[in-house]
Amino acid sequence: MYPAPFRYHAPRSLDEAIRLLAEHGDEAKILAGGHSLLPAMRLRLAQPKVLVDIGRVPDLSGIRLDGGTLVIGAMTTHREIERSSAVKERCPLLAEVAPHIGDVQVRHRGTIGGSLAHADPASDWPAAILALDAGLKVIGPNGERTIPARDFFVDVLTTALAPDEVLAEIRIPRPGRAGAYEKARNRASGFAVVGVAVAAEQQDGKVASIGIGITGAAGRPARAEAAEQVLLGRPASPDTLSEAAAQAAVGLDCTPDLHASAEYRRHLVQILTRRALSRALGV
Amino acid sequence: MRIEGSYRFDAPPERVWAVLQDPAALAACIPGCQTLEPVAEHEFAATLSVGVAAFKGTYNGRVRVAELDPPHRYDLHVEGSGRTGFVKGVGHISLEPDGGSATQVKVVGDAQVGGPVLSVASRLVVPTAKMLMNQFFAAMQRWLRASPM
Amino acid sequence: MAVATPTKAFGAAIKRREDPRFITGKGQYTDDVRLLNMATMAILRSPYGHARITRIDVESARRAPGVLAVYTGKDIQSVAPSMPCAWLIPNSDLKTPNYPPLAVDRVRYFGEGVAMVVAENGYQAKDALDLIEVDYEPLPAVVDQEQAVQEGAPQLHDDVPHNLAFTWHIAGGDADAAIRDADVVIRQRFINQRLLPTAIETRGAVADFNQATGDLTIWLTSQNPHIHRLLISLVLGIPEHKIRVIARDVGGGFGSKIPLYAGEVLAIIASRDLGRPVRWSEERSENYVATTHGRDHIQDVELAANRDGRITGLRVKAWASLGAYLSTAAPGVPTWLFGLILSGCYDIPNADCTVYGVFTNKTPTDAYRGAGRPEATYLIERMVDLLAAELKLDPAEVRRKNFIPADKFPYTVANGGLTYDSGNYQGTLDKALELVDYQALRREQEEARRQGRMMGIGFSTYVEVCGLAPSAAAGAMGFQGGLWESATVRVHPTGKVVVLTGTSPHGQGEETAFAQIVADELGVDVNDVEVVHGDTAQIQYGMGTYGSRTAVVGGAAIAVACQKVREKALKIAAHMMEVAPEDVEWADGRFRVKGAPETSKTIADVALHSYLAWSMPQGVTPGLEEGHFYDPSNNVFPFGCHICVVEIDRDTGDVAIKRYVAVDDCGPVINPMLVDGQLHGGIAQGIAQALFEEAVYDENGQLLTGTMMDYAVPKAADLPKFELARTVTPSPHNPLGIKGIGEAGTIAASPAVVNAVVDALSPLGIKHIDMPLKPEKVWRAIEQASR
Repeated sequence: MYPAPFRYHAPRSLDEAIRLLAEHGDEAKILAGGHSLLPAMRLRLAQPKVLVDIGRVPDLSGIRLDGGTLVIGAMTTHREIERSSAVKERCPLLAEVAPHIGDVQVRHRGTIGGSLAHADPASDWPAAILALDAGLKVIGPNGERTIPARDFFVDVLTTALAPDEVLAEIRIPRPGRAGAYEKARNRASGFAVVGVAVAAEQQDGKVASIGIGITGAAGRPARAEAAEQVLLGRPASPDTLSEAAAQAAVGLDCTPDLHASAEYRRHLVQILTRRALSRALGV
Repeated sequence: MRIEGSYRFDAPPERVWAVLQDPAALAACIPGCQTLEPVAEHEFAATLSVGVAAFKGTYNGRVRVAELDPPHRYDLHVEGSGRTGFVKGVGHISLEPDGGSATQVKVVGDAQVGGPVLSVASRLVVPTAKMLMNQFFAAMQRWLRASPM
Repeated sequence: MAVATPTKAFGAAIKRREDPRFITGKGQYTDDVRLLNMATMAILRSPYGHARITRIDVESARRAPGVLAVYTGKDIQSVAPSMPCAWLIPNSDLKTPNYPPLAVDRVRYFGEGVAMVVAENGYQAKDALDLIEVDYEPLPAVVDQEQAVQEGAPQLHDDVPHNLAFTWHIAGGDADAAIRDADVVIRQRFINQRLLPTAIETRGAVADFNQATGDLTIWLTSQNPHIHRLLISLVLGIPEHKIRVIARDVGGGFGSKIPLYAGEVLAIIASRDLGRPVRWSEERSENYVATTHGRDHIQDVELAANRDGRITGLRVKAWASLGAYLSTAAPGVPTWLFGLILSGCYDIPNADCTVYGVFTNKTPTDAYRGAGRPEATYLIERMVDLLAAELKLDPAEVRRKNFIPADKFPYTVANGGLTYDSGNYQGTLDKALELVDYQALRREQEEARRQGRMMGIGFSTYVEVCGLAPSAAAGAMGFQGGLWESATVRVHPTGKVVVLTGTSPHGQGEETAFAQIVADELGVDVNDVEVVHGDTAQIQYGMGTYGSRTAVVGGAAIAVACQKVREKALKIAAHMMEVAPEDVEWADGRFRVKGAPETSKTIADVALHSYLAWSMPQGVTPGLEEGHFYDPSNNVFPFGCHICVVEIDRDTGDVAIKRYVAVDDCGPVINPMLVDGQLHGGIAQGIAQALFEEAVYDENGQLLTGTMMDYAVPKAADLPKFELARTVTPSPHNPLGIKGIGEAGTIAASPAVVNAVVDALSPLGIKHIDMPLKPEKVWRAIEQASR
């Protein structure tokens, strides 16, 4: 397969990467694993004139703790997250989501930052990132800023990242929350027909915090806020969980495609939310 | 492919109508519109550079307005083709007063998308079309707000 | 003196001898061929399902960097007017409309070639394709074969009224009367969906035409190199003896590498014009539109039975979508390969089958693993279950009641007169029931149902016709070739053996299986046998690999050729041991003097002697090499019983396979590991058709499943553990007693899975869901039934 001609840059520093992006604007794309971009280029659906490979920029990968925050570098591979003991301990939800992505080879090459910035509406990470209230640290010519996950996903394949910004870190606050991910898998692509991630905390027999992130269902991943509101401050019981699940698709503009109708997706959102809540809250 | 949308404009239907028919507004608000040349009454030749993220393509096509019933409804016919695919569709657009000073614009569109892009990325076509439609009307809303009464 | 008995190779689970080169990347596939000065070709394909071409402008492409040549349909028209169809079914009013290698003024399917570029490299060729301007005037498309024959439907070919390529009929007994007089008549419509064969190696060719000698060498992804050589010769007028077709390693085919395609013809034309080697290699998304598809059948079925469950008649009307043109073997697949085996393993006295072959605006169809037989088996196996449900009988019991009894073989079926060679259908069913512990399983199902869980058990008791042969039958069916197979067995002076086979294995493992046959026949080590295939310059002639015929027909040819070698060798051995040939016997892999077994000669001893030829017996020529063209007297008929156990997620409609038990009978097994491997792959494809594979077109003829992101090939994680067992019922007419196993798994699996799902849903009154049983479809059926 033969992509259209392009120029390839492999900057050795973030500054250089940002400078290249600023210079080439819309014509440049960041290569951060390449498992979505390269197939699109080989099909000639995507024809960026310039590729900026950030694989050699130091300090963009790795998993560390920063006070109470779990910090994952954008160039960390799915596989590294899957196998990280820090992630397993501090954020089991991420460890649960990772093996849903592609296969082992893909997970060894693809990166969390690449996946999030590509914002495929059926990819797995956004559900978890939303549920966990993660912050996305991005760096651009004017310095850095942190975008809350719920503001990051703008539309299909579209994020709040400016063309000259690089996603640097995924910052997970309040690690240690219980989590669960439920997914109806597309048998062809392995992507989510619908995926629901839940992160939750209970205190004194009541739901103290809850995040429900939904991917695959609509043109962009979203939080199921109506469902969260049902549970916040109330005890987790079969009844409250079902009540919440029934609200999970509120406000979602579900997408029909070859694999599922909008109606079925809406139904799956509710079913999978119920199941994910049940596991995360132990009810 | 069927897409639907509903947009609220803070202006009465007559004004919204005028903006929606204004070639300058169209040229400014159609996503990726590079040229929009009138070729006949209510008909334009357009060059669009549209897409999403890295999936961009240049399409040449025509935009035609028909069945005009001002300021209530009209049909917008769009036809275009590029290297990765083609689109042909019609949007039935209706304007309804919403209170005294606002308008609800409803769109019911039916489009045929085809070519290689459909074959390899059909799941992204509907959400992308919706996104482009949303972008168009959001731009129109801004245009209306920015233009003098 | 004790004589060591050589290990019997036949029946041993020897590891595949071809694998070391595959798993270390040392195979030689077509795309691995690199020739000096080689150019690369790329094809521009239609973005429309049906359209008129009003203008093609190739001027900027011609001027693009590295471009050597650009061709459109008009340039090709006079050189190669049409691709060939080689299965001309008789008495069917078959129409064979022109099938241009590149469309001339009209495209009839999405992905049809409209122009091609040859450039110094692939990048330049693809860049130049982007510069070709084509104006299309879209035409209404028709993608459904039933709609295509209606009055007023869009017409694909001016010379094919109503898009009807043929009407084919076969019958035996009086099905109309059986249906009229029956206690029960079951009626059901089945849709056997379109599938994409998806061989792991896409198709390709490297054509090297020598302008000085007029010789063409072409590396090709082929299941039948000699047939390809003949067809290339006929299409392009290059004399057959000037063509060499090489298909050294081929990465799967599943039938899709039987036909001759436009791609290879165009590569040859370009090479001949340019005097340079030209390489062409499909991309995967190109493979999905340019390589033939499979199945795409609509069937209306009526089954008549007595109240006790005895089937009395079967009537079938089927509409086969052939796509836009007739591919090489297309007309034979939905007719002979389907209609003759309709009654399955049941004794059905009256059967009647009509098939309409219909052109549609889709990629042409041709053989795909099973080719016709899965369509037939699915139909009859579903009908038997529907009958059992109607009569409230156990589906195993209804099968038992209708099986052709083991003592009735050879058995001649009512429609079309196939004679099943041997079988013991009750035997495989009993063994499978025992393996799965059927009574306990039904109790478990009752318990599950009490708990509100949806568990189902599905059967498929199949028989299939394979080992495609004999030549006289091929002739009667209109197949434009023989269906024999050839072998040359050459023993070298050192006793090493080379076998030249006319079959063309492409992943099945016959380099190993054939060596096992030779090892026993000639008393040599398996590792001393080299199997050569896939090169028309080395190999006599051959018909190729398809229809589960390679081991059965090709293996038999090798066995007989080995026996001829032994006959000659015996005379030489007798001469060497100074006894009369009558006093020599072949025992334990050696020639031994009767009564004095310690005096013996091996094949190697004889081979050296025969090549030195210093002292040969009277009238015996030097050398040790024999050939054989083997034409069987009949097909072979493997059979078996597959049982699938599923559980359905009521809330999502997701189907989980809990157990899959298969008891197959392909006669004596040459290599059980290879047979298991064929079954694993076959069952995987059958399950995939039942549950998730589907080529989807929209109403304009756009293929929507153009990549593996949307077309669901089966993956290991989707599949259960297969519990395999066998019974052994030899074929009475095959020299080795063997039957084919390449397609059996695929043929058997789909109905077993669907029967299991419908069984699980039966408490809701659900009788049928069409494949693939994707979760939403199952969920909707549950929702509808529970309302």
